[in-house]
Amino acid sequence: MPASRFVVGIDLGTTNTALAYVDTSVPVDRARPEALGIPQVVNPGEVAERPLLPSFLYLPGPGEVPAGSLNLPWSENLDYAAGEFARNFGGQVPTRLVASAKSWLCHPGVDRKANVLPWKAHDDARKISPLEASIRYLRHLADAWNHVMAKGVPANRLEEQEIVLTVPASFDAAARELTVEAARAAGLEHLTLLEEPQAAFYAWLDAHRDDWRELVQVGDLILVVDVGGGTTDLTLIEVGQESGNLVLTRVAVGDHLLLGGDNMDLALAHTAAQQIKPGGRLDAGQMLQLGYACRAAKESLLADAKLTSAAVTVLGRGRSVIASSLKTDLKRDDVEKLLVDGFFPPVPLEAKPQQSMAAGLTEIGLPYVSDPGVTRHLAHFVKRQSEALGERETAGKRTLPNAVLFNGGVFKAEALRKRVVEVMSSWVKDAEPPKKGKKSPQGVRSLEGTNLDLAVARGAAYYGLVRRGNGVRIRGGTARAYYVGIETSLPAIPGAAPPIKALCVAPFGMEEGTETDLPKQEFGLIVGEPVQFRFLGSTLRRNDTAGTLVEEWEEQIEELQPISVTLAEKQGLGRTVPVHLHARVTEVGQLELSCITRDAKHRWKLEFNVRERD
Amino acid sequence: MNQDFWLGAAAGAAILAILVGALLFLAGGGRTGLGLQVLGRTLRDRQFADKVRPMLATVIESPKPVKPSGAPLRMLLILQREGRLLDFLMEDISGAPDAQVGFGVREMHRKCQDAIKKVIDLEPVLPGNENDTVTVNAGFDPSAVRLTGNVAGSPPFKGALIHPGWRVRAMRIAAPPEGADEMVLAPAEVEIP
Repeated sequence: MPASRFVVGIDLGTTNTALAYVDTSVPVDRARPEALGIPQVVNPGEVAERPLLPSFLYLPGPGEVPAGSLNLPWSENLDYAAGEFARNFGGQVPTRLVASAKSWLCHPGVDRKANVLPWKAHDDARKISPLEASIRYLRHLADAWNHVMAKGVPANRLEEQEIVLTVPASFDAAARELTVEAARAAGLEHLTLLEEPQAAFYAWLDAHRDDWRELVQVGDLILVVDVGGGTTDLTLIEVGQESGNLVLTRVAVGDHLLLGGDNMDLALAHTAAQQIKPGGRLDAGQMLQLGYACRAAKESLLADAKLTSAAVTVLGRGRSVIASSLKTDLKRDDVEKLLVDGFFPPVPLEAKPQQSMAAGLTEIGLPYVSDPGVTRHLAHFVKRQSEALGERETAGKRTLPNAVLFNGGVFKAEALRKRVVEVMSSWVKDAEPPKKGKKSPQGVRSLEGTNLDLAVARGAAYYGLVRRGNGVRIRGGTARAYYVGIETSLPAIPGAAPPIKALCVAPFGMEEGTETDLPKQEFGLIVGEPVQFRFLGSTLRRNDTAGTLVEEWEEQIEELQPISVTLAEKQGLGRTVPVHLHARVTEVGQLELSCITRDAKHRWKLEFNVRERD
Repeated sequence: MNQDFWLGAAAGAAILAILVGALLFLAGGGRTGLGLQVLGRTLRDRQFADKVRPMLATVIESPKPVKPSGAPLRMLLILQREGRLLDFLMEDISGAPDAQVGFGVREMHRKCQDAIKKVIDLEPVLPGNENDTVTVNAGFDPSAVRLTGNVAGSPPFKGALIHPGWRVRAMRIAAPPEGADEMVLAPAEVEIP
């Protein structure tokens, strides 16, 4: 493919989707990522551009909206809407609203290709699959781009551009595969995947193209904390040195945490609801109003330290707008207690997330985390990774992060950034008690200068430039080691799955375009019958190589959805075929596992199971 | 023969007249008689003739009554949708305590202001602060500048700027979708339990 004129970054988020691009016809030193204004239905019959496309779909029944009121400049008679109107209006029609499709896309509890959304819709209602929802957001972006940017020039169409699509660092191989499938279905072929926290870091590198080398030092370990609307994503990036040049390596990623800014707004709205109508109940429309009002109040309180309270008003819902309106004052102390202490409590490094179910955060369907304490999840991640990083051969390297990069609209609140820095600093101080004559360790510093809402899309677009050789690249490879389960000869306990050992098939940190082969471990597979392998992954074990067999794996390796293969009958093959496993990471960034015959003449791809867990 | 000719001609003319009359009668659907009456009276009566004349002039069809445009209502619709303005203006607020009116109006004020800023860009007609001295030159647009006080003589006029005025610089009000009832300023809301 000849180099496209634009390199495009797409942030397909849980609650908001964004697109940024770099025009490479501009000289590189002046080429900056810019966000695309995305036309979308904002009211029935009204289309306007917004910097973000809310990741919501509204699926009205026949005749429920005036004909043509969901039309877009590029499409007539649409029977669904994506974006602002879908989010705002759909909030009052949960049975017609598709939300958080991305969380469903990586949810092992459901069939991700089955029509299950809206989750609250009745059985006979219009439903689509999590995969289809993702396709529709991407298609909306493609149509919007072609309308606004391509304007009839075929070479400028989005399908012809180089695209960097971001995924949560915590997405496993199956969820990545589904994301690529969605992009291909939307017509986007020239694709590379990039982890979102890395994209945020690239946005920081772009903002500091001239001076980033002065802002970090060899040995720095940077924690990227990306708290989106619905998820929290964690990554560690290490600053090293090679022949005099600074090199950046992504050394660890966190687990998938369904906890984000929306949970905080929801918690605040529930508190305000108790205050505004003690003992009473607000209806869905009023709760929605209250949610917006609380978010505005929160932002003004957390932005201006002089304010002691902010008013929250809910107008009457029927015709009497004044007589049945309600009002309360949100006090700074209460808001800080709830948000800063509730979601970012000061905790030691040894803190562990609570496993009990917390009320107000769970919704049937998605596996929301039960502990709202973001800092506890941070501690758990940093502690486990620092132990694993300490086991590396290169001793003397830092194992606790000494810098942090924030991402996500939540961190517009300075109070929250400050709290995270304080908590992380306390971990560093506790780990290195002050010694006589040695100055006490420095606190954790915060890397600033990115747009918290658009950094991921912009950083992804900048990464497109980096891939063309204009800028420093973060190394890392796969963020997990992958294993298949091998049954042990121990007698099985009735009713329990037989114990297994974990055989490493793809080591941690496999780079794009590389492969590994395990010719020593052979399996005899029966032709024509589906075979399932238990599949496992670890974000901790860095020293296993392809072929390593781990017996005690429960502590550091977790089981993922199984993978399966059916050997098609082929000429010259017997009924049972000896095969071995082969792993490859594609240029796009997907993990591909195959079974290969001894003579390497035949190969079958193993499929990730995205259907319901048995 | 000469007499015979004239008799035959008269009889022929009479038959012809009867035939033509019958044809006219049939073709006229019974209005031939009326036509002959009008003919006679027009010849005798000058006033009647004057009344008939304009009726024979080219008839201009009057336009069919058009459906009133909803355009004048669009801004009200937007202010109702975004800020509940119509609900407020039509509500009886005489019984509501001042405090409640206060916080309700604050909320509506914010929302209506946001709504206006979203759809129109406003600028003052005359730049400057209130009570600044301004000059109104000859040829000013009387729909944009109103002169009050001791107005005398001819421009230029010097005076104090009491109100800088508002002018719409840009407008972004979308047309309603085809088929939408423009007379609906707020749809009825029905919640399904």
